[in-house]
Amino acid sequence: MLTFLEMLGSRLLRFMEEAGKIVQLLLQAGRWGIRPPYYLNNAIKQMLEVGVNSIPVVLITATFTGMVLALQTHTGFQRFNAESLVGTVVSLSMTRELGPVLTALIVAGRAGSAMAAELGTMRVTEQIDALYTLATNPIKYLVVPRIIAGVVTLPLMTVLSDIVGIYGGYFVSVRVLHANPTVYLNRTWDYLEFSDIYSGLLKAAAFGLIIALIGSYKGFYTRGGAEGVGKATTGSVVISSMMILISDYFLTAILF
Amino acid sequence: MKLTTEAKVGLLVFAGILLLTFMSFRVGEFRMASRSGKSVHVLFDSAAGLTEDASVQIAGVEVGRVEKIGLLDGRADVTVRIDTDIPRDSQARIRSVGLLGDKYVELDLGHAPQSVKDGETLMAPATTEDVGQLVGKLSAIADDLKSVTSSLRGALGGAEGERSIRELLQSFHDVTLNLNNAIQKSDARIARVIENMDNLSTSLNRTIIENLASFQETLIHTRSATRSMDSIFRKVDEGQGTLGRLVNEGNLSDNLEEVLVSAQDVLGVKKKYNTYVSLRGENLVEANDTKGYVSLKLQPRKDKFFLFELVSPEGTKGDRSETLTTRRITNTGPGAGTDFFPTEVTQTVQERETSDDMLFTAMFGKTFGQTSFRLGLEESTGGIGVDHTLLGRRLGLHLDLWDMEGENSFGSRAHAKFRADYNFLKYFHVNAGYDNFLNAKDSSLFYGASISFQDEDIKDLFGFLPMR
Repeated sequence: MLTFLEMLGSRLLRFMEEAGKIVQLLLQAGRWGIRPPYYLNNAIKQMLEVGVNSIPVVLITATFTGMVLALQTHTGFQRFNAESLVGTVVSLSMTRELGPVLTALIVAGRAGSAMAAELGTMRVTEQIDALYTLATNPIKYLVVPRIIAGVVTLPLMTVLSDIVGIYGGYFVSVRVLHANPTVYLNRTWDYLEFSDIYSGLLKAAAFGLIIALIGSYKGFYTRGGAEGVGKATTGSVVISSMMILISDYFLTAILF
Repeated sequence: MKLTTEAKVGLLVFAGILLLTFMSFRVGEFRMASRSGKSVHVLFDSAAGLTEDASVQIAGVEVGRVEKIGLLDGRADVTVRIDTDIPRDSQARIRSVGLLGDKYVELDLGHAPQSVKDGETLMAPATTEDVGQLVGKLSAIADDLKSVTSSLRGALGGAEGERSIRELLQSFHDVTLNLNNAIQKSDARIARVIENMDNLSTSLNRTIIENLASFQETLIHTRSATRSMDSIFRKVDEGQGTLGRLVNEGNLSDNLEEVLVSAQDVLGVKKKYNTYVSLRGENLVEANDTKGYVSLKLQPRKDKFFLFELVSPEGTKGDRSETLTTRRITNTGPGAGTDFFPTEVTQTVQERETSDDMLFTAMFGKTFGQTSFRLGLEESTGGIGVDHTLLGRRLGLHLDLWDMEGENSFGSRAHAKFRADYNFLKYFHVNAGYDNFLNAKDSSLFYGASISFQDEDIKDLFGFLPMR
């Protein structure tokens, strides 16, 4: 019984410690990020990694999501003769919810894990310690560029996936389900408001922060050689995916 | 040429911003941002269903959008922004696309030479007929028409209807024929009648002239009569005499009103009163017995009732005493005298004595929701009971406990009875249960049926009792 309570307590403490470390890392990154020198080249490199290189997979995901959304919505709306509103549903769902969330999940799997692996390897091969000896702050040099890259690129990717998803839905509705193209586009754009788009982008920026922060944290505090690097990579994907979905609800509740 | 890292990232940022701009201009809100044309006010009695950004059309062509919907002196002040010039006497009305569609503002162009200016108010027709209302009215009319035609078809359709119409026409034809005959026959008579009438009017005329003087006299009398009537009314009006007081003084009429109200109260008691009569028979299977009940339930209020029952004393259920009688039987048959067939047998017989007295139940009941509790006299002894109704009062469960000392049973325990009662037709119930289950010797399953109805006449007997 006592050991059980002990276990419970130590688990809780470890969880709290971890949460505290993440917040600490964020605060440190914020503190170091606003001071020169700025490692802009690093940030650009990370943007390439997080953003540009993730584009194909994000686009494919978004296209097919939009297509299947059109198909499913059509099936449902057909039952009460509201097929003309499929475009509205697809555009609202893509911009408000699916665009940001799916993009974030894909990027978390692709780039977040890479961050954790890279930083973790640097940690276990003592390259991070070497940075200290070179009088370079590793948080400033490694973590801040990644966070900037996440926060900047995620909204950009989300815009891409919004557009691609909407036109994927358009393609299915018009070509496969033979909807009236003009009506479909009118319904798509008439009911969409700018607040729908920017709330999705705000969410995407928050998700970018989460992905970069969790990936960096997991890599930065890696212990235990090659095995530790593997664990850190897995952990970063799992935790950031969960955090994305959980924070998605609360962000949505706050934003609307 | 190979793209540098910076170029790739730059392309991503550029593409993202470009697409965002594109989306911004496609969405409804931003399209309106280009504020061109002029804004015109329209006052509607109701802008129900109209939303901001709704279309403004002339002859089905969109010329603008609804900019704002506000309230002005209890009417809807709709601000529309339009791109074209329209005459000042144009009228606006709210229409909807299709039967389910969105509302839009339709402009009916006028003929005035001047066109409307920015900020001016357009006229709206007094009532804007809602499509929904119109459809509702039309369908109601169609329904009426349909019922008329269908009843007509019922009356006239088919071979029978055709025959009856033919008969009708035939009889009509006969009637006119007869009439014609009669008129032709009595032609002379009619002429005579007309002549008589002529004579009559002549003599009447003469009479009137002769009696003109007396007629004038009558008029004078009438005038004096009206004058005295006038004075009576004036007196009443001034409050003289009983009638006057009645009419003029408030308290007298108030009293009258009170009397009426209290009379209504008394009658109201009668109204609230519910009276149920029921006749019930039960067949006790194991006791091989039957039992009959006549019961009267008075319910002055919903949560309170009085139950009076007359219970038949049939069979074992009467006032009963047990007797053990010993009889000797002498055996004289073949083989008598052996051990197996003794010559004398002693037989003990248990006899039940029953009395013919009717048993009475008089109980007071109180209802709480679906459950009611009864207390009082049950089958001429003290008893209590619980009733519970289920399935929308169709199924009744009754548990009764009486004869606490068990005087009327073989056992010495109280008489308990469980009865389930199911109302399967309007007045008819079937019931079944277990009687006297505390006394094993006397217990019996039973089944039965009853008729139960609410009686309006018995109610009148109790109507004026102050049971409240």
